[in-house]
Parts: sequence; C-alpha cells; structure tokens
Amino acid sequence: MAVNFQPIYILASGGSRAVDQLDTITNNISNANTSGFKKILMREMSQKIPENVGQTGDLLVFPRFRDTHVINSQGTLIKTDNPLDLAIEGEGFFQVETNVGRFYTRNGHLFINNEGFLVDQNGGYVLDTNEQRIKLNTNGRIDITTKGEIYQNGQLVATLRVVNLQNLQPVGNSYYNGQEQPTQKYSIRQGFLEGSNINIVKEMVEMINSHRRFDIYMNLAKSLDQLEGRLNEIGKA
Amino acid sequence: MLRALWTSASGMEAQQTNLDVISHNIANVNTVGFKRSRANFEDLIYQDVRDPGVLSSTQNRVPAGIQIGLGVKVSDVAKMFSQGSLIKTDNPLDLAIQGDGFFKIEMPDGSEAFTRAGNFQLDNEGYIVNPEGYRLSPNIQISAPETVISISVSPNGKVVVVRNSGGQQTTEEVGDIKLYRFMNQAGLKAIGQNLFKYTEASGEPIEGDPNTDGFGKITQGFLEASNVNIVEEMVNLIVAQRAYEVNSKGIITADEMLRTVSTLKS
Repeated sequence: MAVNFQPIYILASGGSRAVDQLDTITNNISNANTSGFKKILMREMSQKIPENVGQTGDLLVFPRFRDTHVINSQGTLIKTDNPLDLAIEGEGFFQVETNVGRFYTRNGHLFINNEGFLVDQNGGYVLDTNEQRIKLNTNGRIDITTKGEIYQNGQLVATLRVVNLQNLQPVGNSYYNGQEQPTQKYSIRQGFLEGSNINIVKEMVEMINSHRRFDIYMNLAKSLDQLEGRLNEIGKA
Repeated sequence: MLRALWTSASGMEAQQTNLDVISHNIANVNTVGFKRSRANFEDLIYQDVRDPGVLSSTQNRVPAGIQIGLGVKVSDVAKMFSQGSLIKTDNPLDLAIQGDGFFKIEMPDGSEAFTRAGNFQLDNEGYIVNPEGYRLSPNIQISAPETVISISVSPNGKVVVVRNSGGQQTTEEVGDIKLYRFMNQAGLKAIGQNLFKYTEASGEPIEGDPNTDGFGKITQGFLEASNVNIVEEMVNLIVAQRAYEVNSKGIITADEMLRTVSTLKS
C-alpha cells in the first residue's frame, strides 16, 4: 500500500468519540427538565501506541474515552407548593431502598404510599437517619425542617438521611451510586423540587462542537481516501 | 445507528406529554374543584461502556466508568391537591371544602367516586346531586321542596332546612355530609367530570366528619376554584416548547452526521 492507513483509523476513532460526545449531550438535553438530574461530562484522553512504530514513529496518538463524569452542581429550585416535594440546597442525597438495592437521589418528589410509608416516585422507600423506612400518620400536615426533620402534628416522626457522595455513578430512574460521606452542608426546602443543572446554551454549543468535529474527521478521512485514489490513477498504464 | 437519535426522540416524547398535561391544566383553569397535574421525569437506564474499577492494565484500575445515558421518560403525572381559592356564589347548595377531604358521590353503576367540586343541586325527588345528577353519598333527601324557605349547611356538615308549613316556621335536620380522605391522595385516579376513584395506590377512603380530625370544613355559598395558576402554566408551556425544540436539534445533528458518513465513500 502506498498510503499509510494509520491516520484513517485515528480519524475514525476520533469520529467515534464525537458520536459518543453527541450521545452524552443529547442525554443531558433530554433530561433538561428532569428533577434532580446532574449533567454528565464525557472526558477524553489520548493514547499513545508505542508498539505501533509504523512509518511515522511513535507519534501516533489515538483519542480515547477516559470516563463520564457527573457534574454535581446545584440545580435551580422550582416551586411546586406540594408539601411532599423536597429539594436539597447544598450537598447531599436522599437514600432510597428499592427492591434491587439502596440508591441515592436528589429527586425529592415524594409520596405517602397506601401503607403510610414515605416513598419516592418509583415506590422506593426513603430512609431516615437510622436507615429505617419512614412511617407517617394518615392525617395531619407534614412539616419538614431544613435539616430534614419530619414533624407531624407537632411531633418529630423521623429525620431524613442525607449523605454526600463521591465518585457519582448514574444508575437511571433518577438514582445514583457512589461512596458515602457525611455532610452537614445542606438545607432541605419543602414545597420545592430541584431542577436539573443543565445549562442548555452550553449543551447547544457542545452539540455544534461535536457535529463540526465529526465533519472535520470525516472530511479528512475522505481526502485521504481520494489521495489513495489518485495514486491508483498514477499507477494505471 | 446513533444512540443520540433515540435519546433525543425520548426527550421530544417526554416534552409532548408535558405539553399535554399543561394544556389540560390550562383548559381547566375555570373548572370548579379541579386539581392541576404536573408531569415529572426521570432519566432512563445507562449503558455501561466501561464499568468503574476494571483493570486498565495489570496494575491500574480505572477510577470512574463510562456510562452513556439513553434519555428520559415520564415517571408520573401527579395531581397537586393544594387548596384552590374560594369563590362566593351565595347559592345555598354550593359547598367548598376548606382543607383536606372529598365529597363522596354515588355513581349510576353503584360504585363510589370522590370529588372536590361542591356545585350541588336538588333533583326532582329532593336528593342532593352533583351537576351530572349523581347523588351525594350518604344520601340526603329534602322532602317537599316547595315548603323549604332556606337550606343551611354548617361547617361540620349538618344540613338543616327551614320550612314554612301552614304559616308556621319549623327547622328540620335532614342529614350529615361526610368527608373522605386517603392515605395517598396522589394515587387517586381521575375519571373526568371532576371525579376521582380510589385505587390500591391511594388506599381505601377514610370517613370523617367535616371540621374534625384534620378534615376540612365545609363553607356554604362558596365554590372551590381550580388550583391552576395560569402564569405558572404559561411559563411551563414556554419551557416545554423550548425543550422540545432543543431535543429536535439533537435529532437534526445526529441525522447530519449520518449523512456525512453516507457520503464518505463517493
């Protein structure tokens, strides 16, 4: 082969990264109205292939996925006036017990189920500081303090468990996993929901960026292909 | 094909549902006893391209994984049971509930339904009925309506009529209005005509007297307006439309990328 095909493979993997970037951005955009959703950032790295000495030496570097990082910044608070809508201002996540394990969430759209337990929108039980399910009475208004203490008819019923997380992993259904860390830097707002922390302008810019980036790689790949075509023509008698 | 296509499509679909809910709220801005709904979303599952903690070489573990989300779905459309404002009508059978609770209505098929709309009337047999002609339950009958001078309903649900029979005024207690509430109001199923049915999620109705045990009090001569806040709904409408638009841009971008791929080989 007259042409070194290595650059085409590098461009192809770059194009593949641009597609992954678009996938991540569209997921952020589609969740722009999801309560408690946190922006996901795709991080890339370059990978040198030292074994691949080729004609151009060790210079060949592939673009590669490093990880997807959850940006855990505060979302905007949206007033709903529903006494069981809770937003966390500051650090922290609520802990929820589901039938497939315990997860964490910032989506404080809660309900009382038919047995009187405090549950989230998926029916998972919200846990208190003793990691127990929270049982409420049928009547009487519910007041929740900024520290997560639940009062009903003037009586303290339970305190919501709020922990901070490191190395956040999204699970879906508004749930996250991660390593627990104690925190006091939170304040719970009753009658509010936390909107997602997506900045739609940034996401649009990123979307254009991934699109143009993809076009550049593909145009370059096409040019390399045409170059190869010319060489074939030269070779013709 | 690109994941982004389906991800964006899920976003557009969710916003369509959001728009449906908002326009239903706006359409019912003047409906007596109407409770607004709100669509809530949650993210769909994630594809684990690389799990966190796997070995990147013989010694190294990757600290974080690569997870690509697949979009959004509507998690629930929850009714907001906040108090609507009271409108004075001076009609003796217009009853508003201030606080928790629902009136029980007897459906023509014998089943029960619940409502906050207190625009009641008398039917030809003297029963208190809702505008559809379904009876209030427990039934309250006012016999000989032609002799009735006034009907009064006390805050705790006692219905008393004053009659003029043969030039003499008499008062007569004709019944008690009961209120009902549920463990989980949000689990009620709206069936239209301002009526709700209880479900397994809401739990069985709990009966009580108005103005006791946390039940709301009955206010005669008033109607409870819908709790739709038109300003809020308009803002939600704008947000939904913009979110829909931006999601459609995701589809356009994905489509153009695919076109680039298809013209790669000329």
